[in-house]
Amino acid sequence: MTNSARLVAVWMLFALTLGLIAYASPLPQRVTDRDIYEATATHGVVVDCSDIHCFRVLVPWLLGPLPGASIVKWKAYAVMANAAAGTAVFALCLTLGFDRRAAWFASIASAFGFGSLYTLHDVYSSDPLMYFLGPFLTNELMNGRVALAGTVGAVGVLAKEFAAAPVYLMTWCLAVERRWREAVRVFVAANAVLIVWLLMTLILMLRFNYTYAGSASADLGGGGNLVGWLHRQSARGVAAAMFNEFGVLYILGPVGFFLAPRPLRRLALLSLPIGALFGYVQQPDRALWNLHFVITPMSALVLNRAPRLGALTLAAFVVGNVRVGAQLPIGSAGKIALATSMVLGLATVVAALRGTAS
Amino acid sequence: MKRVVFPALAVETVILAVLLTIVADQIAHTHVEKLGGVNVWGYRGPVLHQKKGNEVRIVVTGGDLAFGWGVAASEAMAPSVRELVSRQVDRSGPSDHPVTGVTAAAQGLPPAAYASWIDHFAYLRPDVICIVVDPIGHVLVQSAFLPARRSRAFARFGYSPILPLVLQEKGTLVHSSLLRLAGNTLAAADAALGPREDSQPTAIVPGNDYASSIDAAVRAGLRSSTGGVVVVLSPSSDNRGVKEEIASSFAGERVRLVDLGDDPRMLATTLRLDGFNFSAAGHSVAAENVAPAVLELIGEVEQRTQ
Repeated sequence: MTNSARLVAVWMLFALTLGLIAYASPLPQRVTDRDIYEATATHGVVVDCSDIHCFRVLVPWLLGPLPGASIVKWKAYAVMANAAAGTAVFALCLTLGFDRRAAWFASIASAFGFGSLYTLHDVYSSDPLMYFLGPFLTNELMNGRVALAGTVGAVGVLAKEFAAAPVYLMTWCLAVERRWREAVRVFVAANAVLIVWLLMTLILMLRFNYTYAGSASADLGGGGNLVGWLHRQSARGVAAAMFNEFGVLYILGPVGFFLAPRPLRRLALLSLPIGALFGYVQQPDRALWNLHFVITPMSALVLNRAPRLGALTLAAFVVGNVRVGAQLPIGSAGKIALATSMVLGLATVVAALRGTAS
Repeated sequence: MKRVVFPALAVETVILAVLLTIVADQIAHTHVEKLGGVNVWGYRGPVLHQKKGNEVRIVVTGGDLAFGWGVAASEAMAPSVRELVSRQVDRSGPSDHPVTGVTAAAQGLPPAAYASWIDHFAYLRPDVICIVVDPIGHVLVQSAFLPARRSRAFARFGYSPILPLVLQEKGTLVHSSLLRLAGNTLAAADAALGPREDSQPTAIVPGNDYASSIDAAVRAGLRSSTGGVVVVLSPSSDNRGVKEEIASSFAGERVRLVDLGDDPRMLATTLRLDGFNFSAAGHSVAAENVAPAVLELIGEVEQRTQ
């Protein structure tokens, strides 16, 4: 099987499984950003809009003209984008020199992680596309395809500002490696992406009176979205939300850091300020998943050292996320699965480190 | 590769510098537009939303007196008139007519420029335009940024930059020569790019052409508004000649005349901040004189539509 054919097969497998989960996932019983995205899909531009989601025009512009019920289109988009995210992580792992099993572990953790599955529940969001663009752009840049990455980033940034982050991240990585020529090339691409985003934002603000007035994200001096989110939640709620975000990956990721190849370690370290920035301006429990493509490969390296235990850990992690992410009504099985994944995760770490020591 | 990458980087740097300056300018606007400044389009207060079908919109325009130096945007004449008109509209029965008021005046604007200024803001789709006329002999304020009507950006796009002024004032306030330098540099760049004027800006409101300037402004107002025009004359001047001229020129038209000098309260120095500009209380009392005329014009519009 060629590499491309393998990636297509991975994507189809993920899409099929995610499609079934999306089908079973209930609609949110609370106010979501659905109205904003549907208004953008219907009108193209929502004059005088003061919601940050109005600036995220690409996905509604693409889905709006398609035939069919809105919820079906958005669920299909979330499924396809999250499947693509898993596939992109698979490709990225191969680029980083992982064996195929480790790549599978990482890509499954990305495709069935909390962030991805949550977007199958609350589908009106640009996030699934960002979950794909993060690993895709990083992989393309690692392979020297700067023009392609820059072009895709410049289009993707119309969906959400995060699309510029992987390009700047790679610029820093290359600069730290003192690969100056490549760093400058990628920097030019990153700036182009940023310019597109700034132009679009200014056009929407000046021509159509869009504002960030209704969004705490723009209040950088006042705590961004983080402070408001912390105030709205109880301490237990904050802890639960942050735990759900990565679950067992909190254990596996840091251990995997020490097992990771140097480029991945560098990527992980340099992504920390980006994670901090997006965690500050956005809702941190969801924003951090944008960097899934850094933590799932590191975690996969641990799982791959004790593959049977690792597979069980990953399975428990996925079942738990089906409950807390996709919100499938599987009762206490979800909680049990999450707890099990933590125990198995610890066991996997021990086994992996013993294997390393021996 | 170098041949392409480094020129591209240089071009990007310039573009980013321009875009980030605009972003900084927008942020500066959000900090001052509700206070003593103007919004990105050069009028006071936040940018207005698209006009609703049932909305009644009142625009107060003119020069220094209308601009309301020294008071917040919400304390100027327009919001006070809006408040009084809104109350009356609500009182006259169940109504779903939201009333908005906006100050689209400019510091240092001579009466001869009122007409073109009104034409410029016709896109606000006002129902009633109140032209508050500065008196003959008034020394006009020479302000470059309230709004920046001589800026190239304003001439080309209607965008009124304010960052230079904010940086200059902030620099003075916090004793930062760096901020002042940044403000001065931006102001110099803006001035260098600005359109050349054939003549020096008028420093004093001249007596000659005064009535014809008001006449032209009223005609511009009639073109731009659906309801009509209220001409508001300053209390501290002899307005008899102007009143007669307007009365004869616009008899039977959608024009009302309010001479603030007819209200003895308006002559009190306590209603002025600096001997000329009204205080918040001064704007409020002036609005009490203007609002009946505005209501009359709105009533006539409703009668015509019924």
